[in-house]
Parts: sequence; C-alpha cells; structure tokens
Amino acid sequence: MATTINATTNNTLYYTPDNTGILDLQTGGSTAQSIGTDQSTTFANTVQLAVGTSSIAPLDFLAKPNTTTSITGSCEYDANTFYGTIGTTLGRGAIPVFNEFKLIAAGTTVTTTIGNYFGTTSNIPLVASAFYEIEIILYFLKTTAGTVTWTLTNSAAPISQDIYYEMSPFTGIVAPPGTATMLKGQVYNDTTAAYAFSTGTNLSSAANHYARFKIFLDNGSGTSLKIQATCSAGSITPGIGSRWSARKLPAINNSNYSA
Amino acid sequence: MATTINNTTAGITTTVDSTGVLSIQTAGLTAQTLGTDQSTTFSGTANLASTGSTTAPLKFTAGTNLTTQQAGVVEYDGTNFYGTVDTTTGRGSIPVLNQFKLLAAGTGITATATGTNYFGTTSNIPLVASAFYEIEVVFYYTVTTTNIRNFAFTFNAAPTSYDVYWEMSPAPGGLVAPPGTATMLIGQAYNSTATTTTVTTASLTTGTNHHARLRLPYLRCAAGTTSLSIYAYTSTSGTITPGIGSYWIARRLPATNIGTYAA
Repeated sequence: MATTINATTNNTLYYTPDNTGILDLQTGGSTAQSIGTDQSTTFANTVQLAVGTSSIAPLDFLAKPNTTTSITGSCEYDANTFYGTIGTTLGRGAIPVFNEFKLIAAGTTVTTTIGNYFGTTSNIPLVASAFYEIEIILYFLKTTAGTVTWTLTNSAAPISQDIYYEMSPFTGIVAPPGTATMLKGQVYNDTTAAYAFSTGTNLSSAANHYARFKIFLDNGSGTSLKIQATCSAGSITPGIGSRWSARKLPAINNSNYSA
Repeated sequence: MATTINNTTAGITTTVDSTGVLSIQTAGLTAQTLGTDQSTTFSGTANLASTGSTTAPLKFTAGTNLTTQQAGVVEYDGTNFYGTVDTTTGRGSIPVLNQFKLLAAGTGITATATGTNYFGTTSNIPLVASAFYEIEVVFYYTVTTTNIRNFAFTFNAAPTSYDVYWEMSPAPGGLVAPPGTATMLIGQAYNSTATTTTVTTASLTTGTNHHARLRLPYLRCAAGTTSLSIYAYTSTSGTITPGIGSYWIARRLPATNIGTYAA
C-alpha cells in the first residue's frame, strides 16, 4: 500500500504500492522523479539547473571510474576528462574542454630579450603526466628586419612532443588566395624542456607575419608551457587575434575501436 | 533530532537530520541528499527524461561562473558552456559547434552577382553582436568553363576585427591526390575590418574538382555585426558547383580569458 505524504489534490509523495522499493515523487498526478532501488533517479521532464553564482555551480560531477560498458546517452567524469557516449558503435568519447587565451588588442612587444608572447601570466598550465593537444596561432608585426626565435619552455622536459609548425614567407603574410611559399616543418618525439628554433632568415620589417604550432604533448613532471620569443634585432608586436588553445586528452584510448 | 519517514518493507527511508540535510534512501542506501544550501547530490545515475519537441532533458539557466574554480563542474554564463577537468588546468570552454554541410552537390552557381550563397538558401552564419567566434569553411567544388572564380565573405556590418587564413588547391589545376603537392596556395589577412573579404582565384581549369578552406581563427563582431554570408560567383562565364561535404563550422568563443594561466 502506498504511503502518502502531504497529499493535496494533485501533489503527492508516495511509496509504490507493490513494495518494490521504488520511490516516486509525483506532481500534477504524474511521476516527476522515480528513485530506484539502485539509487538512480529518473526524471520525467526537464531538469532545470540552478542559476550559477560565484559560489554555486549549476552542475557538479563527482569523479568516479567510467562504466565498464559505455552507455548510450551518458556523460561521465573521471577527474581527468568529461566523456560522452552518443552511441554504442562509437562508444565513449571525450568531451573537449578548451583552455584558451587570446589577444583582443595588440600585445607588449618582445625584443632581443626572451619574453612571453602573450604577456604576463598568459601561459599554459600543465598537469604532470597528462597528455595535451595544443594549438598556437600567432599574427604579429615585425619591426626592424631580423630573425625570430620561438621557444616552447616547459618547466620540465616532456616525455615526448610532436610539433607541427607553419609560417608565412619571410617577407610576411600574403593576402588570399596567397602563395605556395609558406614554410612548414615538423618535429617528432622531442624531449627538450625548452624547444627553440630560429626562423633562420630575417623576417621583413614593417610587415605582418603569421605562424602556427600544433603540438601533441606527453607531459612529464612539467607544470607549465611558456610560449616565448626573442628577436635578433628589433621587436615583434603580438597581434590581435593571436591565441592558444590547449585540450587535455584522456590518458588512455578508451573508446570503441574496430579491428 | 532527525525526522524519519520510513517504509521499511520497501526499504525506503527519508530522513531530515538535525543539521537540516534531507536524505532519501532506497534499498538501504542514500539515493539523494538535499543540503542546506539547496543543492541536490545524487548517489546513482541521474537518468534525464526522454523529452519531446518542446522540452529538453537538461537546461541550464545563465548565471555567474564560480569565483574559485572547482573540478568536475559545468557552468553556463549565457555565452558559453564551461567545464573544469581539474583545478590545475582550470576552467575551459566546452565547444558548441554550429554547422552546415552539403549532403549532395549544390546547385551550380552561374550568377555573376556577388550575392549568391555557396551553401544555398538560408544557409549562412548567424552571429551575436559584439561576440567572438572561430569559423572554418571547407569547400569542395567543380567548375565548368576555365575562368576566374570569386569567393566573398560578407558581414552584414563591419566587424571590429578578424584574422583570416585561406588555403586552396593549386590554380589552375585543382585537386592533387595525396601525398599532394607543394603548390597549394595559402594566404592570410590580419586585423581586417572589411565588411567583405573577396578571394579572387586565378583562372581555374574546367571540369576539375577544387578545394579551398577558409579559417577565421579570430572574429570579434561589432555591435551591428549579426551575420556572415558565404558567397561564390563567376567572373564572366561558367559555373561553380558546390560539392558534397562542403561545410562550415562556427564556434562562439568566450568573451574574456577565463581560464587559469601560468606566469
């Protein structure tokens, strides 16, 4: 027999009459929440989360191991990554969270002394032993012809990093449709704490230039990755729209895979 | 003193303890806890509703992000969804990708007018005034009649600033099968405020497939900037036929740098 609490015409809280241990919460004569014997809660309609405030988040996942078998429609959190499963064929996938920084105004010039491209407290925090996919897009003005040395300064040597790099011609960017003389290069399985390279050839003065890095980082004990530059002469002025984004990757390959 | 409502036969216990915390147990284990801060903690899976065309299973109401970032939380400030995977990494944005793709070849564009949509009627990118975006447009297309083609990217009103990255298969020849060629054309524009950016190709060889990709890694809309139209047109004759798999993706970026950063 159901136990009814605070019954009014259409608002009831009752235990199921068959004593199966399921608790139903009804409003308007229909079940709004059903709490099962496995402690799961099933909602019948929209779950409307609270307005977030500076001290209360609307939704908070408690870290736990992922389900052994991925469940369609589920979202999970293992203290490292958020996951979603849109179907059992694909299985579990990572929900990307991009940590990013962008310049909405020209930055502080970097001269012949090595300095942060994006400014003070603008670099990428890293979790030890974590994996990252990082993209860095740079638009900058070169003043006084000279080479530019890019340095990716990890606070400790990484276990491994692969780097893809591209840049506009030494004379600067070319308006679309562009040119076939862009420079591209790659680095494989590097373990240098501060990987640095020079453009080698002087970049033209008073011209805007473009460069882009794409990095796969298998981090060691490093806690930060600094994006730094130095000029052989003159300076560079970091440009509007320069930005980096970093995505922490799952530690293991945990989706479904075909043979 | 706790107030307890039990259905011992069914194994259900509802308890309000002396601290004001309401706990609901099933099968002898806590299923939900309602704290004195009005938060609800679920012990088991929260199964969201299978809702219809007028209701959503989960809805955030725009609010303020936490002052102190907290691992595991998801937030929404009316502009972006945010997630914090750990407090070292800090708050990041969860991308929501608005997109449009062609599942079949589009209608051949024969017009020489500048306002012919590449992706078809009502296919362009809506923008929120004063917002920030990252946009990518990928083109695969065929041309008839060897001729110059034009791509025009037209805002309804000039944005505050945008940067451009453009690449395309070689002109005039078109696609080169992998491993490809070193003759791809690549160009950029920096800090443009133009209402329209037009890319005019060299004369493209008739009967061949071509590829192009536009990326706006950074777009800052002005107060009146509310749409971006993707146009293509011929210079004098011939057609451009938009190809299967052409698509665009637009992602709204957070307005400010909201993460955790290293010195």
